[in-house]
Amino acid sequence: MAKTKPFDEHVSKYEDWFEKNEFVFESELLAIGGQLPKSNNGVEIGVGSGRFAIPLGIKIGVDPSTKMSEIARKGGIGVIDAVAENLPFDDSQFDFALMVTTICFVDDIEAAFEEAYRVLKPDGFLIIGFVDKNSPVGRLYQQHKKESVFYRIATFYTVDEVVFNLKKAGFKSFNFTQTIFHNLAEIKDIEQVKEGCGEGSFVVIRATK
Amino acid sequence: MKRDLMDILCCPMCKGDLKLTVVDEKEEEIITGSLKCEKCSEVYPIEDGIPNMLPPDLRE
Repeated sequence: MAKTKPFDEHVSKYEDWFEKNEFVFESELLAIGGQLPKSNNGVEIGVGSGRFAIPLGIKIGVDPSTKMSEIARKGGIGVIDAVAENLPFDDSQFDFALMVTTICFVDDIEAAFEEAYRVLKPDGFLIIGFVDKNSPVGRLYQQHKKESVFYRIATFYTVDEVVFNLKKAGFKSFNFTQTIFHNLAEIKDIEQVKEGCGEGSFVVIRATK
Repeated sequence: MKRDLMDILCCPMCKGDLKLTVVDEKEEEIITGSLKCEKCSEVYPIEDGIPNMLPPDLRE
């Protein structure tokens, strides 16, 4: 089953996170923006309320939570209720696809990556932003998993696990950047974005079809 | 949904082509209607401007 329930029931809690963690969000946005190709033909898979898609100029999004989609639509996103494992798009349509803090909520990561691969044009990019399971924030999220209505249902992945599944779906040439070098509560300014992975808790992978 | 979205949409299950039926359209946006798969005959509703293309077992 798609994990939509907490997102349908806790819209304000979801939105509050972005207000409370303003600089965490800004840092993640900066890291993702740096990996996006200069194209306006992109799709966000797991667009939520459009928090990332809107500032990044992404015009199309899918999300299984109808409550989230309603907000994204008001923000000007062409939104469709759909799951990552069954995308409603023809083959080879997009220059890039973005998934931010989405892979931890999909039921079948292999099917999700296969579908992303299918809808990308040849040499298109899949950009994934996620909290590394083997990072300080990743470990903290797992320790306190049960306390969060959202992370209770999440499956966290290491960078190696994500790359393994991307390769399985056919992706090649991976580029890594990272941010979030402190505990979230300590972050009072925009964090830097560094090449590679293994230090920052939030990792962005750009994979090529 | 905007009409031009039809250029890229397909059935999420069998990837067949879709036939659009419009019930209500406002300012070039389809508010209410449906999308029917010409291959597997599954019907996806469009409500409040959003097509619901979740797999049938996940739809309310």
